[in-house]
Amino acid sequence: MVFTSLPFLVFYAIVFALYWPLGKEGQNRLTVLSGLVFYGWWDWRFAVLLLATTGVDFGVGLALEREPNERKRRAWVLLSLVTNLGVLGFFKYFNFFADSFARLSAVFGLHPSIFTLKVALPMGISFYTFQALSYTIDVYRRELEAVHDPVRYFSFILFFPHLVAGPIVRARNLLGQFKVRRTFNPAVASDALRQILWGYFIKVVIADNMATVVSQSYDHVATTSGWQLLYATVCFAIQIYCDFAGYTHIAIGIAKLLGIDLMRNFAYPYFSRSIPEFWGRWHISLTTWFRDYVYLPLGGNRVTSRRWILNVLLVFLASGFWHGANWTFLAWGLLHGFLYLAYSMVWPDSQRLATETPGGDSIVPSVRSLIQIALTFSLTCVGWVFFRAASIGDALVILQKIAVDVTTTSPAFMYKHAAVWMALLLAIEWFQREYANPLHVEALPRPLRWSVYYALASAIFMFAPMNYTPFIYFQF
Amino acid sequence: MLRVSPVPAVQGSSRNIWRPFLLHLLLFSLLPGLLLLAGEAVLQTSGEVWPLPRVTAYQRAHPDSLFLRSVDQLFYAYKYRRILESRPSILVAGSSRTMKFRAPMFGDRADSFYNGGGILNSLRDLHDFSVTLPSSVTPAVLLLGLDPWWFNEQVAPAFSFADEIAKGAGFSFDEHVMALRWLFVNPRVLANQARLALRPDDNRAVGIAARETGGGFRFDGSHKSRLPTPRTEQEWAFVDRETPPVLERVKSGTGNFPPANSLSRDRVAMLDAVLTAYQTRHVLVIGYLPPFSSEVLAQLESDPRHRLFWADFRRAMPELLGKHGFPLFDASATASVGLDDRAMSDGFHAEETFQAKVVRALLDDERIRAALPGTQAVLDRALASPGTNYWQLDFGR
Repeated sequence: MVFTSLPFLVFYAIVFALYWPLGKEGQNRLTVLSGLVFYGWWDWRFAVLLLATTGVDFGVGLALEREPNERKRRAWVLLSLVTNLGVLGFFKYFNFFADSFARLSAVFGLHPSIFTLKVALPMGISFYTFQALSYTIDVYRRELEAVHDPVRYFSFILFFPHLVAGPIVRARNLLGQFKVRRTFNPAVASDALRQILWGYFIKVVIADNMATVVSQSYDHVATTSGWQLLYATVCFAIQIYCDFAGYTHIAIGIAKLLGIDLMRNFAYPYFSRSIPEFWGRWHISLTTWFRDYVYLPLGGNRVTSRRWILNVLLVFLASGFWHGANWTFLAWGLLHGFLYLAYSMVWPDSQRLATETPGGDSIVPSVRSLIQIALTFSLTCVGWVFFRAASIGDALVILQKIAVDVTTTSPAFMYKHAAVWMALLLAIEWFQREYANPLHVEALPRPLRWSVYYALASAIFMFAPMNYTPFIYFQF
Repeated sequence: MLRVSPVPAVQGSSRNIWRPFLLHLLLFSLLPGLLLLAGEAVLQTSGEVWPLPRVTAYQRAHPDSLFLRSVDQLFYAYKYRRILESRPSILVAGSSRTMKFRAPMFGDRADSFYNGGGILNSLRDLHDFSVTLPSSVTPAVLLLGLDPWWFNEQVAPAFSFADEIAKGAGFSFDEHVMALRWLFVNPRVLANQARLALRPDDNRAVGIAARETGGGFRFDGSHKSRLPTPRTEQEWAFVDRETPPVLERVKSGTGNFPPANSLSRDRVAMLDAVLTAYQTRHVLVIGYLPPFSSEVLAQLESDPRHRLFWADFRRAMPELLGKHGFPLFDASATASVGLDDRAMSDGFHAEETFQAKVVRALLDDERIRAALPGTQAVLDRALASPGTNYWQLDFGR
């Protein structure tokens, strides 16, 4: 079930109506049940798998709490790591390693018979695996108490708004919210509806319309000019942002409507003035997960320079690999790793910009900021070429064409259309960048406020493509 | 720094919390809700989104009614369904260039006639149609319109026959959304149809296009033109009403006219296979090459980029049908039936008088005359009637 489908809207209306009259226990049970229906809608067998791994993590949490012996505690947390990462590795990476091994063998003239799995990837497996690991690792580190109520623990994992594409909320932030009965707050609900509206707008109007432009160029690299590929790459930068941020806004909004706060995942990343700042604003829940559970345990930056470089590259490589079992994602991760290092060496404070107003405080950015923003955006676009291309070879051809082939073609209607949506998005985001939700219009008089809502709702109704465009991050 | 809006504390009973929120939401939803309701009411009353079984049932009850949607016209699904329902013994099949043959032209067999014009737009369509149509529905006579671009390798089939005929059988959410979108960008039509819905008249047409223009498909599958019949000699002067005009497409080599020197051998072979299948089933296939306006025909014959292809087409078709013992009538030139461009509504669509003349000419073949009893008398009467003009026949009813 996807947020942009009719069955989801019906499903959510039913859950919403049943949820609020219930007490705490009832709300949690409904959360588990609705999560199973939501997830099982794709394939009930994967729901069984999800239940099994969640059950293991719940048991590991209890065992970790009871066990005083450090060696045994390590064994318990290892069980959780092996179970979760084992399932993830089996479904997501088995074919990649099998194919890569076969290709490597072929280089040496060997042709081993290697079988590949013909199974679908369980939806959102990378997201819920990392979320579950945050629980067992935190309990192991004694930073979090184990949960004794299985319904509460299953609610934390199976809460459907964040189940398949995040945000990857930490156990310590979410579990507590299932401990008490949620009460309805009209002001929060209004805010949630605004966030949902904005999420749908940028997903179905902007991202899905960009998708057509991007596919037309990226699916026909050989016959597409450099100019078109450049334009398609910029469109893809906007597409992937609106697709994922749109999904997150909807997820946060529908969670908020059920009285649950999820963490922010995007903070106007394309107004970043450096690559380290970009990583403080893009997919924040994953970046901070890698920081807390990979980078810091490796020693972070409190190590020798050489080790620090290695730590940063390892984290970015892991981040690339998390996105998918493909060399293109690894290249994307590695590229960002090197860019991160370069920026950090030349401009050590650049990461701190992520805590400031994106793009600076003034309404009109300074020329210096503008250049920094443009350069950062251009570098992320180079990364997106690898992320979107079918192969490393394709990515290199695209970059070469963009650099060399300056043939200009008159933009088709659809291309101009995409430019209008991009300009609109950037303008709204720039003026609203101080707020977590760009649709922060509470201060406006009601007629004006409602006009904004009606305009966005009309755009969704009139311009959403009728063919279903899946959320890009569902594949991860 | 990031600002977070302050959230007021909630006070009061549960009912006091919910009521204002829900009222607020209801008030907000009122305007879009009413608009959507009005749009949906128009779609329902106009028949624009009726599922096809309902459309055909309605036309059966009201045989004079026309059907034509504005958004997705569902040619394939509508006509294929009607073919299955009516099991015609005389069937016209081809592109929109064959849509004007009508049941009353076929004398004693009028009741078992159906015009499937519009359902075949490529040779692949013809092939898929011939293998999909159940043998129990096989007609005795198949009047098959053949377009030259079906044999041009550069022209890819635009439709998937299987996908197209599967449409329109039931409720489709997407279809409603598309139709509502169309209505909202055509407020004049929305207002007009809303007015008609509130004050129903005797307009029995189904679908907004049929209701707005007066054109559409009759129960026999033939197409009633939306164009007003010319009256004065000046109005009868030929005008190509296609956009862009057909002559321009031929000259620029665009649309269905990319330059080619010869017919695609694969596609010719495919037609050969289809004809063999019909021959085996004892169907009398009558080949028909629909007309072009004189200027388009002259261009096809003289333009070095089209000349060879066109000559190949006119030579190969009679040969191929003849090989299977089937007749073919080459009506590429309007003069072939003693008419001129005035019988055409654009560069490649002839109106019903022309088609009647074609049927009349076909009767010269003894086999066809035997298969279509009573046709000659009906046509001779209609063609001689003072009410008949270049476009429309007067059947005296």
